[in-house]
Amino acid sequence: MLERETQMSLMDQALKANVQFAKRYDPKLGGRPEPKIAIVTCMDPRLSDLEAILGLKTADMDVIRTGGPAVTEDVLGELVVSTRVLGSKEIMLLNHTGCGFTTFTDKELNEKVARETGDATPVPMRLFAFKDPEENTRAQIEKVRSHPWIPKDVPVRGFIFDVHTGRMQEVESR
Amino acid sequence: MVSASVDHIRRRVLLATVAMGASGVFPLAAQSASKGTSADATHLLIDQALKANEQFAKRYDPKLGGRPEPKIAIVTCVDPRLSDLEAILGLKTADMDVIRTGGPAVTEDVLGELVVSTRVLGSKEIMLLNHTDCGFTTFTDKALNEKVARETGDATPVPMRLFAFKDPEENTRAQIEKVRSHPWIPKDVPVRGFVFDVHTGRIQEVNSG
Repeated sequence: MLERETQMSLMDQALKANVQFAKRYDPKLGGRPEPKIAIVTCMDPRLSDLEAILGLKTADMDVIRTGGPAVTEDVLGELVVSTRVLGSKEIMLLNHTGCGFTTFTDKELNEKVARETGDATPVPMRLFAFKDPEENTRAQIEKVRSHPWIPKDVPVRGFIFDVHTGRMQEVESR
Repeated sequence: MVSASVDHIRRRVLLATVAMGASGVFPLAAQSASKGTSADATHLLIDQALKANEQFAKRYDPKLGGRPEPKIAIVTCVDPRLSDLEAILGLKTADMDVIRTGGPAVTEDVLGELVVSTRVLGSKEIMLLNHTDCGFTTFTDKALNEKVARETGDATPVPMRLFAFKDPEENTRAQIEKVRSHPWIPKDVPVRGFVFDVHTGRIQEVNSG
């Protein structure tokens, strides 16, 4: 019994659970969203419950999630759309301590996976390893702030969430 | 009767106090200064979040800080309607690595993140969760590039990738193909695609092409 359940893929479980979710679904939730803030954070599960961590409404937040988070050209494009098309008026860059992307280097992991798969064609793949969240945050603020298409009246601020205390701390830009 | 009305007054006093605390000024002053609109509206959400987080941290269970053991990597859109995955999918927050991009677009960045999620962090499945009525279907990259270049008077970022697309189903099929064919995504990791209907709450599987 238990074995069967654990063997069932999470995606199949999700399909089943979603049938029940849809029965209680309020179609009003389907209206076009009016996000007020764009948040860039890590894909790490510990950063998922932003409503609790930040006390903000889910409906108010566009949430971009990448490894780290890395603020890449992709993310800049998404921030341009969030502020200029979708309506966000603030940008929060939310980093965190204890990130899984600090446990390797891109070079090592490229070598390891090339070896394991016997296929080196993707090398060098960007895998978004980094070391210091504070330094990362400062570079992100600078990168977003200096992009000519991010509206000048949109505040861009960076924070680090401490996964051990639940506290977030602002990082001052240089 | 008496105690009910005392309660009532207490509640009103409490509400007034809360209003004062939230606006940082006396309610009357706030009203005259902002011509009846909520003084709160002028506060940044970022500042509100910093304050709310202090309370959150007081109740925080440090056990939540342990290294996560994600079982599934989910790629979905930045759209707020896709935020409550625990409810939509009935899965535990702790089990999900969640990558969120515009659309979602499955770019080289996302492929790298999926490689890390499956090969370093431990995810055993990949779900590509698209949705209907996406804000990224309301423009084209070309038109928006031209518009923003005009508005800002700065065309140096052109052509910027802004991730506009038209059809979520077609998008999903291309994503499955793209992820499945990448040599570094483990062969034993299922890669499946779905479209969430924002009007019904239902997710529907998309069969790969």
